[in-house]
Amino acid sequence: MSMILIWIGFFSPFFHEFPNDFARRPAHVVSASFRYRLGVASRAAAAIAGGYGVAALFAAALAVCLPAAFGMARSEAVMTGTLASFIVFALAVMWVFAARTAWRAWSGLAVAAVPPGLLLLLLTRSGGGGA
Amino acid sequence: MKEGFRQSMAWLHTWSGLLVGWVLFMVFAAGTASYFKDEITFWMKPELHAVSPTAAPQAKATETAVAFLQQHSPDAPRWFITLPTEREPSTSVLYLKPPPPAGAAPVERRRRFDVALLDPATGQAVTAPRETRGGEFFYRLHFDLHYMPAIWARWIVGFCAMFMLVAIFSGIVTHRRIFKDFFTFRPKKGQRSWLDAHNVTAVLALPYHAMITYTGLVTLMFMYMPWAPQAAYKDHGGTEAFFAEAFPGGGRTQFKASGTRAPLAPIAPMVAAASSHWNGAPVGRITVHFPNDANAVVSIARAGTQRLSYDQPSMQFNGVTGAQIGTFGDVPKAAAETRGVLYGLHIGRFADPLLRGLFFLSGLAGCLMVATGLLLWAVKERQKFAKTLKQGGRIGFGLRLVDGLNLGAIAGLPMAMAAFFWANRLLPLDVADRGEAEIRWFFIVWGAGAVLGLLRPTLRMWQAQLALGALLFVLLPVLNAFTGPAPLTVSLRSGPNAVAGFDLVVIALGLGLAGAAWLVERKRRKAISKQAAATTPPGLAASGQGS
Repeated sequence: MSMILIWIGFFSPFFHEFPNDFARRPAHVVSASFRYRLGVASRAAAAIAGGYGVAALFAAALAVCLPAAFGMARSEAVMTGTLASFIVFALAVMWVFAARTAWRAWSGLAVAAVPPGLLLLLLTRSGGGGA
Repeated sequence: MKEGFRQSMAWLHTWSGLLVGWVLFMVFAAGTASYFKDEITFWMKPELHAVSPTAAPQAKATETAVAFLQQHSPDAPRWFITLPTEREPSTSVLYLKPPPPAGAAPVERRRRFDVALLDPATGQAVTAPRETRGGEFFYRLHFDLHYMPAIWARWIVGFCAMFMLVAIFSGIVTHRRIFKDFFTFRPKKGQRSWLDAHNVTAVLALPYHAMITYTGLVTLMFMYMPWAPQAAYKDHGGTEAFFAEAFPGGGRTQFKASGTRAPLAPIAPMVAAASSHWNGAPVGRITVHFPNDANAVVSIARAGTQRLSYDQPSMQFNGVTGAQIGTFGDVPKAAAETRGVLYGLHIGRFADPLLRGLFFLSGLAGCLMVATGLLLWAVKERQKFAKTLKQGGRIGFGLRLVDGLNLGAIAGLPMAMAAFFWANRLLPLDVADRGEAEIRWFFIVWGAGAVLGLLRPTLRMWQAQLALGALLFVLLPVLNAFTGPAPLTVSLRSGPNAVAGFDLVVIALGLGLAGAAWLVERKRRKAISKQAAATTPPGLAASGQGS
């Protein structure tokens, strides 16, 4: 994780072709390269850690909910949830970098984490599940 | 907004691809080679080329293998017998050594077992081949890397694979005219040609790339994403219970030695019973847990060549009475079978030679996709320095680093792979730890390529490394002719087919590399003549054009 952030920090002088949501901003924002780098670092953290968290929550929630909702065998639900989680991860990363601002990226992840998180809380009496 | 999304995905594609590209190139190359790991291993053991094992029915092969194991390792905690197949005509046996006495130094993982290849009809070990990791090295390199704990390596490779999946998804979004792009190739147009080449290799095998990346993650999915079993089985016995439920018959923890000796029941009848239970499908692997112990268990799995799924149905027998204990996996469960098929697709053991060849070609396309993508980044980035270069300035440190890493990773790796094969044939047979010595040569050559690439990332260096790689590959059949009993002239006519195939494929790969070296030469000539025409001070164009 931290290695990647170092990598990204290292390459950040070249991060000047970021999507046009930055280009549309007033000139002083675009040239504020420290804020820009901070935004990229924040998005990278959101994508890697946040994306993984959301994917893990989806996997765990599906594994717990599918047997309760559809009577699926527990081991089958675990398989389904885990297989799906990597797609969720990839989509979450895409969302993070497509969002207009880093703040929106984070809040989008938070919103996506609420339903599976709540379901996990409700269905596993003793608290937050594995994630 | 739509245009904005596409642009942000292009950015994501560029950066996620660049950051993991070098590792991915190696993973793709090693994985592509692994499709033929049995054939590579066979080529690397020339002692076996002149031996043709006598084919024998499975019952006979089982009997002879058990006799061999009873003679050589009656006290092993576990025996594994893999019955002969079309690709591997010998019976291969692997037996664990009894654990060292308490307090003794722990034994390295690779030294905890012995292996042997047997003639199925006689049970005699075929001529002891030289010590080599063979194709197994590439297979392990593909996800365990080397010189580091496997668990770190798997996280690194998994991380790169996840980035790759993101790069594929965002790449699809980026290429709005994906179908049209596929039919577009504009050669000799600099950046545009690289882009077209990247598009062609990516789109041509897109279903393969998406499949191989996702299924690669699936192979280790419970390591990367252990939360579903943890959450669902928290109150139901924990993850152990999940694995026992999801992969019945696969576990080994439930078997314990009793310490009392008891004669092992004949295994051939169990093989016959299992095969008839599967409507005559052949048996693949036999595992004997605690042979000659009162608690011995024989586990028999169906041959893996018959179906897509990695999970094969299996049967268990009591090792003393010969009674059937249970059958597993006869009625596959939907999600578990889905995972099994995804897993099986990744490793491609089901594939017949033609399909295996297509997988191999798709893997090569993957290597080219990653390579052209990496080069495209450098070509694009270089344009930003065009003005600085004209004024006699230098390119940025980042671009220089990428140039060097590109050179070392892309041109250096084929050279290293070829060097591994040369070391296999040229190192003395009695050198200590020979398998590891061959691997050391792989890394010495790759390391040298990378260091030279970082020091002088020029077109000249590209050319030198590509040409050396080409030479090493093209001459491998010559090396084989001098150091083995089956030169191409013999193997083409009377086999072994695996050796002929290996020799032909390395010639083709070498010619491909030679073609790349020739393209670089043309580019270099052009750069020189341009330089002569312009009034640029000498020495700039060479380093300025290196991509």
